[in-house]
Amino acid sequence: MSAAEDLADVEKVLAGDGSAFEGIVRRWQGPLVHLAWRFCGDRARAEDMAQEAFLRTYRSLSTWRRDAAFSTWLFAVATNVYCTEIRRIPPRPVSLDAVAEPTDVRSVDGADDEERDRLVAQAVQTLPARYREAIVLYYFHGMNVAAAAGSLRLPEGTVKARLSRGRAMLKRKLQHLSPRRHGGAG
Amino acid sequence: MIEDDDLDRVLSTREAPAPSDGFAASVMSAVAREAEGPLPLSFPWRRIALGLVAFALGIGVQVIAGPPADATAPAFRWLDIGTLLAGVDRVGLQRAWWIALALLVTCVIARLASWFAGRQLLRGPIAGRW
Repeated sequence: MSAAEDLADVEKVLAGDGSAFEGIVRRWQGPLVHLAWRFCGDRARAEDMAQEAFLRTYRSLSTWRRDAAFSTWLFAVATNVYCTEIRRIPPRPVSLDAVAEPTDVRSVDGADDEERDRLVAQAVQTLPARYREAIVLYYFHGMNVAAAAGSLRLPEGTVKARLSRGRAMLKRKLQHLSPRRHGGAG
Repeated sequence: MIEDDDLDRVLSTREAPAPSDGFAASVMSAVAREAEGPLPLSFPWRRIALGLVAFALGIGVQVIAGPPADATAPAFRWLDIGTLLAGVDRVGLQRAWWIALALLVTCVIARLASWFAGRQLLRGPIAGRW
């Protein structure tokens, strides 16, 4: 991803060449769909949300102040769109209790890694919005608190506190899961 | 119980699907529609300003002039200049101030609402060529 290419395309769009926006879309479609998918867990919906994020970006391109990197601003716009959308229509009606207290503990203990990953992802979806958003962005940005805080437009301390609380809630929900069975590679 | 390392591993290595082949084209179609669509309606400040000024003048004149002294007198009499000047008293001015303040507050609220709506919704599409 080239910041210079982003800047050049933004200048072209603002000068009236709307087709230059395609360069931005092609460079950032992967990360934006990826982030949307982390929020909703559904590919089709993730693409709809990412499209809305690109539209919002296009509309407000003139408000990007060059003091922040284009990518930082883009993720902040997309995060705002995704959070609003997910709060409006939650991904799926998963019962908190269903995740917190599985009916058959043996089936969870014996679950393979794929099942464990699915349960963890499902548990994230059941967290209150503020904690879920912090956790999703923290891991999306490669466990970078500053980047997550930039996307959420929140102070780093606030994000750290939400991460800590969210992780504690996750561990409580997943208390029946046994530690991962590591392979030879660790 | 699941450990922190396990959480980190699971949540940071989730494999996301790649965008479908037509995704970029679909986005650009939507953006083109956005650019070619009609401009969002702006609040008709000019038109409403005339109405507000006329309304404020009418209210001001009535407050300053006060009600007709003689109920049986023709209505136009309390609007003549002599009556107007005679009616300018302290109470009338006090009323006028309150009305002016109310009008000012109304304008500020309307302006703020418009500003917030503009920030949240459309800022107006960027005119482009396709």
